[in-house]
Parts: sequence; C-alpha cells; structure tokens
Amino acid sequence: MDAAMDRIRRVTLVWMITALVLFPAMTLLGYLIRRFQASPTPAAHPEWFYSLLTLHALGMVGTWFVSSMAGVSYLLSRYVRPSPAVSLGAFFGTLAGVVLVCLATVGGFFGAGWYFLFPLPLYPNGAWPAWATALFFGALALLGTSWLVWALDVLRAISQRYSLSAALCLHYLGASTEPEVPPIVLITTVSLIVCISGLVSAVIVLVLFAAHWAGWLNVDALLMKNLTFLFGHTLVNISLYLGLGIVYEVLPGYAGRPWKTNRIVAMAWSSILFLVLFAYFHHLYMDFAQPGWVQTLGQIASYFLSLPAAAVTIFGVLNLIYGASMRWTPASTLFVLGVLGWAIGGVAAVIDATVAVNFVFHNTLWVPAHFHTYFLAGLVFFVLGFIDHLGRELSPGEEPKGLSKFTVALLVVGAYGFVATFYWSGASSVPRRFAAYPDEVMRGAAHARTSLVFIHVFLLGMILYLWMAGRRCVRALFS
Amino acid sequence: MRTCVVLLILGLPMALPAPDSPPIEDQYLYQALPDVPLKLSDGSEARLSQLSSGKPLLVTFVFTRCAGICSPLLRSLKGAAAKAEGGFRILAISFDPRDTPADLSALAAHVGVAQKQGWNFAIAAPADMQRIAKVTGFWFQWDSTSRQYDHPGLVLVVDRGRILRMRAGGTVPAAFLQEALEETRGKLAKSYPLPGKVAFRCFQYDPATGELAFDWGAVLMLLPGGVAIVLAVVVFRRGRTRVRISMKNSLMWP
Amino acid sequence: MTVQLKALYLFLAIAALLILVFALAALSTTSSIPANASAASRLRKSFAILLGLVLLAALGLTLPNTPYPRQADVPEKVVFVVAKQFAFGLSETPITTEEQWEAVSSSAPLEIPAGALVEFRVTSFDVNHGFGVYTAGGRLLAQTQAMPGYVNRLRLRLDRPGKYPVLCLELCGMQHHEMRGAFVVR
Ligand code: HEM
Ligand SMILES: [Cu+2]
Repeated sequence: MDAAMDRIRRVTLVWMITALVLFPAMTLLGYLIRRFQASPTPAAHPEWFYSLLTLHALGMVGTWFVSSMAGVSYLLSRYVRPSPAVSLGAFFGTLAGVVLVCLATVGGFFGAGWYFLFPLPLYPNGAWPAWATALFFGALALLGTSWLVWALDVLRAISQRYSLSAALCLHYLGASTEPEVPPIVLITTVSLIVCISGLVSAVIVLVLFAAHWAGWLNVDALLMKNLTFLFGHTLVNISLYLGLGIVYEVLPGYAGRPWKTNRIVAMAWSSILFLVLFAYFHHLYMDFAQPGWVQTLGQIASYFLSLPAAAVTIFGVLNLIYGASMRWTPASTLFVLGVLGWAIGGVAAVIDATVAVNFVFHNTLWVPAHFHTYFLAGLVFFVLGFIDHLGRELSPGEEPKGLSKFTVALLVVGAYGFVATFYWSGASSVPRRFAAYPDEVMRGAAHARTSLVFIHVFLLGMILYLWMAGRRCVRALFS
Repeated sequence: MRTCVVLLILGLPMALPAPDSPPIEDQYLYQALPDVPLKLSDGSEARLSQLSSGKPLLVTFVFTRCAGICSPLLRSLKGAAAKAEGGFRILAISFDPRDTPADLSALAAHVGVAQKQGWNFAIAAPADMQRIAKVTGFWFQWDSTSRQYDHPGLVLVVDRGRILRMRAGGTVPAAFLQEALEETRGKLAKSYPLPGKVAFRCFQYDPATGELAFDWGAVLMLLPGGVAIVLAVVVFRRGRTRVRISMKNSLMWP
Repeated sequence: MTVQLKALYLFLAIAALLILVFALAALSTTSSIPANASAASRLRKSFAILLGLVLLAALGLTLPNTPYPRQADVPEKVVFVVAKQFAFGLSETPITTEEQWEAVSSSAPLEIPAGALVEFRVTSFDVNHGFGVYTAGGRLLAQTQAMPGYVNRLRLRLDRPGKYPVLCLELCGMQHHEMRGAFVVR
C-alpha cells in the first residue's frame, strides 16, 4: 500500500473514531433533553434545555455531515485523490469549532437553536451573554470555512479526472456511456455543489447578522429566514445524499452485483441538483409574507424530489438485492435498513411538505419525527455500516454472528421506538422545542417517558456497536 | 392620536373619533355600515344596503358648499375609478343638513359625473350620519370663522356591507382602488410589510400592480446557488488543465 | 377525521408498505434469482409513471386547499395580535406601542362571536414567534408565523364556544414553552 493511500486511510479512521466519540455524547444530550420533556412539572432550568438542544442538534448535524464526507472521500480515492492534508485541516477546524460551540452553549447558555433564526441570537432576554452569541457565530464561521475548503478540495480531486459535465454524468443523458462514471462521483459532485450553496448562504447570514448587530443595516427578517433555511435544509439534505453515495459504492460488493450509472440515474441526480434548491421553501409555508407562488413551487419541488429518490435510489437498492446472493453483515444490513429509514422519513417529510397539512404540523413534533427517522434510522445507519465495513477491511476478525445481529436489532428497535413517540406527539399537536409541556398538551410528557425506554435500548445497541466496530477502528489506526 | 388609541385600549372601543386627525384604517376594518335611509340627488329614496348589494361600494363624505377638499377628492376618485376594472358603485354622502338634492346634482355636474353610471349622491339625516361616523371614524365640525365644516377626506371600500378598506386624505390613488377591488374578488395579500426602513427585502409589495416584485434581497437569495455554480466551474476548469494522475484501482475492494 | 389523523394514517400505511417491500426483497436473497435487467427497467418505468401520477393527483387535491386567506368573504371582525417575548397581546384595536401591548397582553381574554369569520393580523415586536391556535383539549387548529416587520393575515371561523389557548410555535427564547395567549369564543 503506498504512503498516500495510507495517509488517506489514517485520516479516515481519525474521522470515524471522532464520529464514534461524538455520537454517544450527542445521543446522551438527546436523552437529557427528552428527559426534560418527560417531566410533568414546569422546567426549573429551561436555559439548560435550550442550550443543550442547540448543542445536540448542531453536534449531530455536524457529526453526520463530516463523517459522510469522510466516508465518501475515502471511497472516492479508488478513482481520484482528495487531499488527506485538507481533510486533516478540516478535522482540526471542526474540532476547534466543536470546542467553541460547547463553550457557547454549555458555558454561555446560548440557546437560539442550531439554525439561530434571526434575530433571536440578538434578543437573549437575559438568558445568555453577548459573548456567547459572538462565540457561537465564530464557531459557525470556523466550521463553515473548514467545510467549504474541504468540499472544494474534493471537487478539485474529482476535476482532475473528470470534466464538470462528465462528473455530472450529462453525457449519459444523451446516449453515451463513455467515460464511465461511478455513481459515487456523480452523487458527490451534485451534493457538494449544493453543499457549497448552503455554506455560502450561511456566510451571507453571518455577515448580515454582524451588520445588523453593529447597527449598519436593519435586516429583513424574511430574507434571513430564507437564507437560514437554504443553509439548514441543504446541509441536512446533502449529508444524506453523501451517505447514499457510500451505499451506492459499497453495497454492490455485498450483493455481488454491479450498480452502475445509467441514463436514469444520471437524470435522477441532475434533477435533484435542480430541485433541492427550491424544496427548502417548505420551511416557510407558515410565513404568509412569502408570495403564494413560492409556496406552490415549494410544494411541487418537495413532492417531485421524491420521484428520483423512489424510482432510482430506493428502487435501485431493491433491484440490487432482489434475488442476489447477499453477504449479510452488519454493514450490508445497516445499509439496506438505512435506505428503508430514509424512505420512511421521506414519506413523513413529503406529507408535511403539503401546505394544507403543514398548517397543523409545522413546528409540532412531527418535524423532529421525520428528520430523526431519516437521520437516526437512515444516515446514522449508513455511516455505522460504513464504519463496520471499513473496520473489517482494515482489521479482520469476527464477532459471534448472533451478537452483531442482536446489536443491529437493538439499534433498529431503539430508533423506531424513539421516533414513534415523536410521530405520536406530532399527530396530537404537541409543539416541538418545548422544555416542558403546558397542560393542554401534557400528553407530550407521557410520550416522552415512553421514548426514554427506547432511548435506553438504542444506547445499549450503541455500546455493543462501539465495542465491536470502535475497537476495530482504533486497532487499525494504531497498527 | 396616541392618547386616543390608549383610551380605546382601556375599554372604550369605538369611542367617537378624535377631531383633528384622520381616522386610521386598522381601527375600523370590517365594521358593518348601518343600513341608513338616504335621499338621492334625483329626489328618490334608497337604503344604504340597496346600494351596497351585489357590487362593491365606494363611499365618501362631502358637503356641497365645501371650499376645501371635497371637489378635488371627488375628481381624484373619478380619475381612479376610470382606471379601475370591474363593477362597483360610488356613493357620496352629504353630512350638511343644509344640502338639498338640487345642491347635490349641481355638485355632481360640477365634478363632471352627473351622467356617469354608478355614481350616486345622497343626503343622510343627521342622526344617521352620527351612526355612520361612529363606525367609520369620520368626523365634521362647524368652524364659525371660516364658515366651513372641518372634516377629513375619506374613502371607504365597502363589500357586503362591511368596510374592507379605508383611505384618508385628499386623493385616491388608482393603485389603492385597484388593490381594494382585487380584494373584494378574493385576491388579497396574505401579509403586508410594516412601514420602516429595512435592507434587502426579498419581495417588495407593489401597490400599483398589487403584485409582489423582486427586490435586492431576492438577489441575495440567488447568490448562494450562483456562487456554487461559478466555484464548481472554476474548480473544474483548473482541474482539466492539470496533468491527469494515474490511479491505482481496487485498493480496498473486498 | 382531523387532518392530523388522516396524515398519520396515510403515513403509517405507506410506511407499512415500504417495510413489506423491503422485507420481501431481503427474504428473496436466500434464493438466488438471476438479475433480469430488462424486466427491472420495465418495472421501474411503470413505477415511476405511477408515482408521478399519484404525486400530480395529490398536488391537484391539496394545493387548492391552502390556509391562506383567499375567499372573497368579508370577515366580521379583525383581531390584532402582537407577539413579544414572552406573551401574545390580542386586541380589537391596533397595537402599536409597547405600553399598549403590556395592557392587552395582561388583560382578560378577548371575546369573539361564535361562527363569525375573524381575521387575525399577526406580527411581532421582537423575534419570530408562532401564533398557534389550540382547542382547550390541545388540538392545533391553525397557525401563522409572527414575524417582525410583517403582518400575517389568518382567517378563522370558530363555531364552538369556549376558551382557545394560543401557544407559541417558534423557538423564541428561554420562556418559549411558557409563552401564550388566549381568546374566548362566545
Ligand atoms: C437516540 C438519539 C437521539 C435522541 C434521543 C434525540 C433527541 C432529540 C430531542 C428530544 C430533540 C428535541 C425535540 C423537540 O422538542 O424539538 C431533538 C432535536 C433535534 N435532534 Fe435529536 N436525537 C437523537 C438523534 C439525533 C440525530 C442522529 C440527529 C442527526 C442530525 C439529531 C438531530 C436533531 C436536530 C437537528 C434537532 C432539532 C433541534 C431544533 O429543533 O432546533 N438527533 N433530538
Ligand atoms: Cu414565542
């Protein structure tokens, strides 16, 4: 193995071990905030709830974004050469960002939520000091720049072998299949272009925030909300797309069949590149100030995003495994389960992306319900599957089969049980992001108590997983 | 005005409007106009509900001996009405007990709407005028030095007997009328911006067309997508000019 | 059936279908069936067309059904709503100053007539809030965002007399979960 490949391998392991450290930590925070909601009495210290909520969400979104980025970069190095140095730089940038975010939230009680909707960070009402806001913005700027550079470097790597139109597989739209482009290259290119637009949007938000804070401008709240969701929605979406890139690349090995780019795959992903930029409008349905045609466009884009997802990716996975002599390992099992979770969460998302339904679902727990489904039972499974795959490749050795099956079962039961309580609450009008529930929706506390059981189950599965896959990664890193 | 609003809040809703200042629209929205009897300029009688049934009705208040805003306001209304589309009626109510139907006809001729379809001039009895004043915020006061009534210029857009929009002042912009008439047809703005200087709105409400138009904020919204595309193109341009690296495949395939 | 329940049942049905299909596909991996590319692509085509049609039909059914005011009815009443950390002020007359807001947000709940079309004109004096109208039993009936600088018009007709709590549906600070308002339908 050449030295460059060795460096890529090591930096990937560093990322994965980081994910395996952050994941339990952020899950514990999730457990803590759910504990707040489970209590039937008024919250004595809501500042902890809101700051931990902010940390949990940003921590989770960040963890799964960087780990799917790292996974994709590693797999891409079969075809192109992303720079391990840039990846390592992004790692240190991320680490510093995480420390700053922790200081701002746990230290300073910054609690405006992970997407810090304008102008809340500037109106703490005594709950957090101005330095916490400044620190949080600083952390975001640091994270944003690190990730932007990283994304650009991965695109640069792709560009050394493929032209832009080839990387986007535009030639497949005609009849040509030359040059052959693996799906992961296509998916990464699409995702990273979208990712860059999200990060640029975050930069604009931060600059406008600063200008408003300094008193230079009186910024329009509607514009800020649009930009905020352009950033939040795309970052979350492309993390999932990158996770799917991993599945497209790795799952065929377990199925013993190829999964190649063809015309329909190319069509699907180029339509995603286009549609995803309009789908975020569904976050603003309840802003009546947004023009009507934008709302309509938002619903149409959100609906039609499900078409390529279903007809190409979901259908593709089913087609790949149907009748195949599958090698079922934790990795392949988690990949297939992850696609299922992504699909189920997607259905809940499309339902909520209906203006008429959003009227009674917006900002209820239905929203965390759907995104926890495609994160926890989707992207998290993709990355855990990838880590298992990587670990076995780099540090062989088998666990008892029963144990790994049991682990996956615990993760599945824990995750679905947990999100089920969110759906239940959402359909019964319980608002999201409440530190404690008022009498009218006190049933939310009972749902939260039920969810604690499932969080324990999930945590147990996670401990077993860490013991199996985590040990392997550490061993591989120091071998 | 401020004291007036505070008074209202403190439990005097619909108190009589304060003289000196024109009524504010927000305060009288959707109030039902009392169905008062009117004496029309041709001598016939009608009820207000008859005039406002089936079509939107624009109501304004005048007195024929007015040396101030009455005629200019009527002319402005005439101009705006000429540009507006859709069927509606116009009613000018005199609040001066001295006015007679003949006075009103003369005023109509003076403003040049005597022959115009849809225009009505009428007199309301003083007691009825008080009832109308109460729900519209209109007021009038005899000023003995100028020997004139002091009163604001006011135009109401009445739909199904209720005040849908109101505009105080000496003129009626065509855009205001058009927008209000759109609203009677169910095409209404779901939201409107509050006055105030704000940088980079996404959409600017254009009262002339009643449409939302792009503003500089919209450019900022398109910027992320644009920058992403430009960056991608730039990165790939540079990549193509470099020496292709040779790749070893199958490094980590199981 | 409420919109919420309809959405929940639809979701559960589709989720069950997905689980079934995935389970069948996973079970099929014990019997190796050779891949049949042309059959798969035909099936994919029919599936995509079917799904496209379903999506179009769903759009056609739901898009005309938006909560934005559009009917040509004239409301019988307007209620001005100003949200501010951490209460809603509701009033029949415009609320333009902090003092007015203080007065209305701490006074007895506003009354509106049963069966009347009411227009809520909702805005905020500070950050974004969410104006969520609930039944006394805790069912969300309607909502609109309360955004600084904008007034959103929400029209509602409530037939059943009683007290309707208003909860805040947008994270607005430390007392977000305690932020509320109310009105009474009589
Ligand atoms: C078992 C694991 C997890 C638990 C127990 C958990 C728990 C929670 C809870 C209780 C909330 C607050 C819900 C509300 O009232 O709004 C929340 C919000 C959130 N969680 Fe998780 N979560 C978990 C996993 C994840 C994962 C994997 C992600 C991936 C990105 C994630 C991202 C978020 C986000 C973005 C929010 C929204 C925060 C906001 O509303 O601002 N969570 N989570
Ligand atoms: Cu609030």
